[in-house]
Amino acid sequence: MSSAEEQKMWSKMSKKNGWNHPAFYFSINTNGWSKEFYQTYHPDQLFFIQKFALLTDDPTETISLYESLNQAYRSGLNTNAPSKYQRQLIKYVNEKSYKSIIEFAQTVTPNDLDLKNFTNSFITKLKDRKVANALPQISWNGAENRFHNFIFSKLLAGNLRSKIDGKPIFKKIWPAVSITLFINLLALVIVLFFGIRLGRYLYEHPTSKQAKIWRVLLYVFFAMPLFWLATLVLMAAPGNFFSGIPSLQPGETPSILTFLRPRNLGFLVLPVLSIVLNVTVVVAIHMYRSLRDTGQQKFMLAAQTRGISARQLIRNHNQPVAMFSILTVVGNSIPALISGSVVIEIIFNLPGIGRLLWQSLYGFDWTVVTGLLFFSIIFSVVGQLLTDLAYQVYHPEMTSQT
Amino acid sequence: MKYSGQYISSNKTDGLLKWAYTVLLFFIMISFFAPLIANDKPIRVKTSNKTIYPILSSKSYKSTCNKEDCKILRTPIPFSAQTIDVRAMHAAPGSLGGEELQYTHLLGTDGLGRDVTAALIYGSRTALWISVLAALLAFFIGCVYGLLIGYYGHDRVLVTYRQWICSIVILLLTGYGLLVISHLNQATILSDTNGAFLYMGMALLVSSFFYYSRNMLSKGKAIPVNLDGIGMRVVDLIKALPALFIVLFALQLVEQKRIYYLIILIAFLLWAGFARHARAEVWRMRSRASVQAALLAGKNDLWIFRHEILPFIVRPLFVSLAFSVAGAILLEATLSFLGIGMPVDHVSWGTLINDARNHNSSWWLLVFPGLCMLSLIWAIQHIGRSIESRLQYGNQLLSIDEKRS
Repeated sequence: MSSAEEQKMWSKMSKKNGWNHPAFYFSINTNGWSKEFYQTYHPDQLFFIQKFALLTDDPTETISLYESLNQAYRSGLNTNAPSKYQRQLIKYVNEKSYKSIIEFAQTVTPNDLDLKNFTNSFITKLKDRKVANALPQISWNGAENRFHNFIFSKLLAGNLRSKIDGKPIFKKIWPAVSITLFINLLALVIVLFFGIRLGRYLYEHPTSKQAKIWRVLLYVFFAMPLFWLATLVLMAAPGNFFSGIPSLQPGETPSILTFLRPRNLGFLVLPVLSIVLNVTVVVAIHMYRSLRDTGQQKFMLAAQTRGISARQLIRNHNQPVAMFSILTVVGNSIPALISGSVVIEIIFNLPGIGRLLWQSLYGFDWTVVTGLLFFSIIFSVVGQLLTDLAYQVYHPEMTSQT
Repeated sequence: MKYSGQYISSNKTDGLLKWAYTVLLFFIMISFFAPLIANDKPIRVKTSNKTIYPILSSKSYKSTCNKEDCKILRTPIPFSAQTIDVRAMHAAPGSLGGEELQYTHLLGTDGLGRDVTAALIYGSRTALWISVLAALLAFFIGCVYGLLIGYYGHDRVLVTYRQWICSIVILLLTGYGLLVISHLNQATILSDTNGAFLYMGMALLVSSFFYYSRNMLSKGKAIPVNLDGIGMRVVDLIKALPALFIVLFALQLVEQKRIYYLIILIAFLLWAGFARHARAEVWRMRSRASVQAALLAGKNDLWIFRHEILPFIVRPLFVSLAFSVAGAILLEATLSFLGIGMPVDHVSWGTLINDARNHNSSWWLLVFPGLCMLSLIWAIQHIGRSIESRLQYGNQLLSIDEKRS
């Protein structure tokens, strides 16, 4: 609901931003609807117009019905002492409660001229309505639609910009991606190095007391929530070097290069440490289990009867087969790693994709959000691809077509 | 170093298992009897002429109790989770609190002076019941989905071209009819016109046509529908998106936080895992000779499900239910920690830890909720693991028996 000046401003703004077009190449609407409504009316107004369009079979009648409501609403707003009915109508319109407006128009007989005009025209429309008004009508909108504009003048032209600061989204997302990717990859390398060794140690020493304690500890760490671990690590660590505000050069967007400078290097320690503590356990447990499962297979027995030493047996025969399941675990856990980086980046205040997502969601910056989702899916797909390639190292027969 | 691979791990009695059961039972009991353990109202107030139980009523007991001979029986912790103690904000464990500083805050207080012990006790309710409900919902949805796509697979549903066309027409009609109804319903026209019924009637007409001409429609070349392929792609899609991205996105769309939104959201994140598991189990079962024999004998799908498939796959599915309850507890706590989970007026372990983040010196807000969460999740996972290993042991024995026979 808006005055004539507001309407003029809206149509100017919508023309500038390209909002004055229908959503897609074709639209399914009723007889009382016209695609020109998009050019002049605000989405809040279109909400009512869409409802009124079901009562008429002509767009001009729809608009006249809407205008009568708008006039009644505005006359109520403009008077100093609005009557009881006017206040009621204003309340319903502000609440966007269409049902109450209908009831209002049917039951109330007001004295005010504008209100009377609205109720009368509404009741006549209600009497005249036909079932045919609700029949669907497919209309072709051509290339003048928002989807087409988005694809050709924004996405393909590389003109996607953030709503908050007007930067191109790739300039916002790339530095964030570099930070998240570096931290996660560094953590992953450390995790694989220690996790595989720990799992193998547990398998090689099934009865030693030390290994038993390790096993209990491992499952305790497995149950430990990442956010708790990270907060504990942050609280336990001394300040200044490990946490705080990184030093930036003037005009610099923080990227991984910022954090690789000696002054800021300490900020990477705690996030990597907490990811390592959280994920090493998972890898170690899986390694232990899959070593145990492959150990029961017949080729192991055969190798044992050939007199191979226990160390050789485990490292050369058992481990390559067991690595297969580790690869699957790592490949499948990439979405979880990105999820975890949301928590990590919020706790340690790192400008990675998790925190960027957080900020842009709370600023309703959907362009950046879509870009981030796109990136995270690309990570998952690339991770799966790398896993498939790595399978061939351990299982060369995967490539053959048999 | 000794090579121990070829031995089947037997189900030895696990010393930690009884601890796991104890911890789980402890938290369940606490969550059940939370109002009796931590409450700012006394259980019983005894005066010379009458006895009242303020814990059962919402009235204040103080008016009846101004004489000196009044005996008050309090709960072990005389604070509820919402009791704001102005005299003890961020008080360390063991410090005094209450109106006349007559009680101790065992595990300290948070920024508003709410007792941490009481918050932990009421938080166990949130943690347990939200996660159990969410996991059960996810279990139901995921299992039904997984069983259907696993059983019908890529070749058991055959649809002819005529059936395809007819069902698409019916879908479009009902869809548009529902759309119009949703508009008309708001216009209160539904009560006095038959406009909406027209579309429903048309849909009914077409579907009855579909029913009575089913022999005619089933003629022609039938194409198998790859239900399994389509269904698993949907599951893969949900699994490929980071869970927190989905949560943040979904919570941004709702205007007001409610508990059941959270339950539905957690269930939405968990059901894909159940679907994948259930599908894999059915896939394993459906190629068995017994199922093929039942199909050849002319048994219907429901019978085969009931007698040949369900009894063999129920137990592993229940084990994965245990793990996903632990996962749901973790997820709920993480969301509450980020400040997007529980509504503000509900206590959760995650919100306590979030409070600790803003006040570095109050270590008790960080340590105790974390330990509670850790022990509960560990207990559930340990129980799940022990049942799982026992099942695997049973399966190994079964496979040995099959080989012998």
